[in-house]
Amino acid sequence: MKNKNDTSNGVTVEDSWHDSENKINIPLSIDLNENIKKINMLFENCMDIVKREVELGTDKKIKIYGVYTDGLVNREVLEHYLLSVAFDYKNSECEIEDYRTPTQIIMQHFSATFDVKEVDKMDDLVKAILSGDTAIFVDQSEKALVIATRGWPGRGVGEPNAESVVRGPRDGFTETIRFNTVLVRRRIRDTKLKVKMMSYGTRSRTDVAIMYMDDIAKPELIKEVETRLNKYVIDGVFDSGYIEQLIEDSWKSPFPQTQATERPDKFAASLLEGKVGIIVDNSPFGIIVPATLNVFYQASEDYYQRWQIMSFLRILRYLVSFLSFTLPGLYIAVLNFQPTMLPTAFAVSIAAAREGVTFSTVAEIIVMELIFELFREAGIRAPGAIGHVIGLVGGIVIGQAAVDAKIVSPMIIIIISLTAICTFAVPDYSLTSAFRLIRYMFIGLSAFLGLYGFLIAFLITLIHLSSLESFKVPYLAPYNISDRNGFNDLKDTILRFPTFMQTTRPIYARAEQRRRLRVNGDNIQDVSPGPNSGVTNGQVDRKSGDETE
Amino acid sequence: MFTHNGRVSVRQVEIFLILQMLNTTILFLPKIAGDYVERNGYILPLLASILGVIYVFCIEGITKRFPKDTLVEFLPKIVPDFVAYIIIILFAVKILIITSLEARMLGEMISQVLLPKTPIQVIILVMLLSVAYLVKSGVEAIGRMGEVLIYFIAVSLVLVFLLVVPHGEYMQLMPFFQTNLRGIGVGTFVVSLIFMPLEIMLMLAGLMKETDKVRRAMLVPVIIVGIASAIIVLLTYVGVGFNETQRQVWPVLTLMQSMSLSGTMVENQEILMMTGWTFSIFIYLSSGVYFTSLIGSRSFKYKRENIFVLPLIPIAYFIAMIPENLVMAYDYYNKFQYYFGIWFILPVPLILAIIARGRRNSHAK
Repeated sequence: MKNKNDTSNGVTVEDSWHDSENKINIPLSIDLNENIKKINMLFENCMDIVKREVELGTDKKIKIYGVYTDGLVNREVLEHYLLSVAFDYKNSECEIEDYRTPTQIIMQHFSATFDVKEVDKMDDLVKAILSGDTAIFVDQSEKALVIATRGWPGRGVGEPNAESVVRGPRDGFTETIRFNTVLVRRRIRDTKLKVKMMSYGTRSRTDVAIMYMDDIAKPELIKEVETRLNKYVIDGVFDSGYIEQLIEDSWKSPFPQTQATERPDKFAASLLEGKVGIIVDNSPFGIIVPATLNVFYQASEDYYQRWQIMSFLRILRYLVSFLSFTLPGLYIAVLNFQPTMLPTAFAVSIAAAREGVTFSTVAEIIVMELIFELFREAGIRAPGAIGHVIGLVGGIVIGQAAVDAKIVSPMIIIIISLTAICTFAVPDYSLTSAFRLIRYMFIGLSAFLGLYGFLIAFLITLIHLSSLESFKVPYLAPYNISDRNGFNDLKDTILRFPTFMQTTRPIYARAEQRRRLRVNGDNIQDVSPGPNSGVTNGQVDRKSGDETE
Repeated sequence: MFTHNGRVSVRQVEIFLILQMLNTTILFLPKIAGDYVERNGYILPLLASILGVIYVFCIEGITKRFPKDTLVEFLPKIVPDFVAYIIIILFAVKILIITSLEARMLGEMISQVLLPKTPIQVIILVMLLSVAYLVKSGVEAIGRMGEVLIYFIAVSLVLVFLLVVPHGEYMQLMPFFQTNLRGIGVGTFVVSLIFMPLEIMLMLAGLMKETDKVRRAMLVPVIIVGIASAIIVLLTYVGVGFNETQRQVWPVLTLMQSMSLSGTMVENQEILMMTGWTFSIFIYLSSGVYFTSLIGSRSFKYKRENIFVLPLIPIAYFIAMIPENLVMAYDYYNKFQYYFGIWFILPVPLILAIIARGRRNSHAK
């Protein structure tokens, strides 16, 4: 069926109103009927859009046209605080003369909310309507009103699934951007916490919030974030994962270059360190930049419990994360090339267990790794109860059957299981995903060149990590720029130093804002974090501070 | 904020030089030292450090005049162009040859300890390709890589130290200080060639962030490596025995093989300890390929400094494969270092500094 707006060249009138970025480039008319006509054309066949024309007042009638999206508005706000007041309104000539424009009359009388603003662009109006606000077109006015009436059913604030803690706050980000910014604002009640809003996606018009501490985050970092966000034009963004992949430094790397978190406490703490956070509407994961390898080993709980146990756990995490991508390769290298490294009794035990197994060690490892990945994927995708069954069937039944059938040796089951457990011990899922991939490089090179191949694989990984950057910060910081902040950044790495010792912010923060903790009563100018910190006697040392970084 | 400026920090340069100085030579240093002063070999690295300091002042003498320049830029400002280009070419060729021979020695070592059945060509080629991967990432990545690798090397060295000291046979060091002065003189000079990587500063000084700290960046490695070398020589004598040291090609490797961590799940732990040394060699090779490539790209005024990296890999490989066997490779390596090692750490920088001073040549002018 031909569209009634079709022109001769197949382009509809409505199409011609949109620019290349899908923004509506038509002005508002002073004639209400003209505006109604445009709105009707724009929202043709959009049955979820509610439109109604009404006349207000008695002595001097004002024609208005209200538009909102059904289901996206808070009907209580709309009906009680706007419509009921409007319909009961009786005006007079003198009253009208007191005001300059009809929109100002509406703003004065009918909107019992602070959040109302005049808008003069059709694009802004349409965006507001589709975001849950109510648009009011007023006759004989070149401006329309947008009244904040957003309200839709959403998931309440719940406990983060991916980052649960024993001790610490239980609230997590949700799919509603405003809830998320509030969760952060509740933790940082400072006017220096800035929330810049922008719209991302030409079709989805997804709200994106850039959050940072104005006096702590480096201006060049904020600018870089904005530049990268504006680099691409995309039609739709449905999760922060889209943004993450568009703003990262290297698309080739399997390693995460931004930190995703569901936890507002972690998000807020990062902002206080001088990082920049990005929250995307419809996504319960906030993004934090820059992200270095070290931060992926930090869990929120590390700071809520005693430093001794958390330092121990940190060491354990580093160790097991190393094992999570090296263990299968190491096993192959030692068993196939350097069996003399193993104590004789142990080597004999392994050889006895392998008796009757037809496949080579390499084939065993690769097959079992792939089967394990299959179980993991099936377990995640399958509905909850079935997922557990898959785990049981996969882990116990098939594992035992494979050993009994001499398809794999028991040692392989132990190696693969241990590797999997090691993977789960790392707090950040995206980092373990990278480990899952590079594990195959270790397996391949170890199978090819034994321990030398293993060493080469390790070097390649290190080279990659050394050349990787996150928003121009070396990925291996602070390990390879530890001296920059007077070695203070090392206090929150493999060891988590006691809280009172962590007196400075990391290198991401502005030099003059490095001091974060001091004894009450001490003059902030009396403390110097270190020789290369960039802060000496409270002054920015221009020779050793940011300028040389 | 921190990156994309193609420059390295003082700390990175210090670590970079330390890693380079702990190259293959360290593995047979006890034998070389023993050849000249017998059981007092450990004093030679300490005396050599004094020569090392002289080298530092020679190199700094010229680099401080042209703080932001590398050899390729400042040489034509001091001597006629054709002379400058000859020196630059010789420098590049020298670096490439020593890098290739180092790769060969590494290959021989790996072949002997880890992969006796694998062709040495494969071992060398794999290492050179890994080096190319790092070098293509630029000098910042090399600097950062060094800062991480130093932890592994430090652990290896400390482990060796802790394992040998309690069980050392200290009588091997007797008699003390009974040697001839000529042996000390020549030995000190030969051992001082472990500081040959200082020549890299002719290029690297121009890539430093803080060009006023070039001297410090060289002095710290000289002192650390001087002391570390003396300790290694001493530990080898007490751990392996002096006579055995003189019989072995790589006595430090024998020292590693002699150690054992009782009660652990791992045997033949020298393989683990060798890891640290391999990392050091890796940085050495990376440095060689990087600076040869940099000399090429700056000479031809290419913006991409790693443009020559891939073409250099096969050249380095073929040079590495020239010696027919381990003995010949060892001989080539020693002779090359002996005859050519000194040129760019003492005579060339000294002469250039004198000429530049005479002509009142400097970057400021």
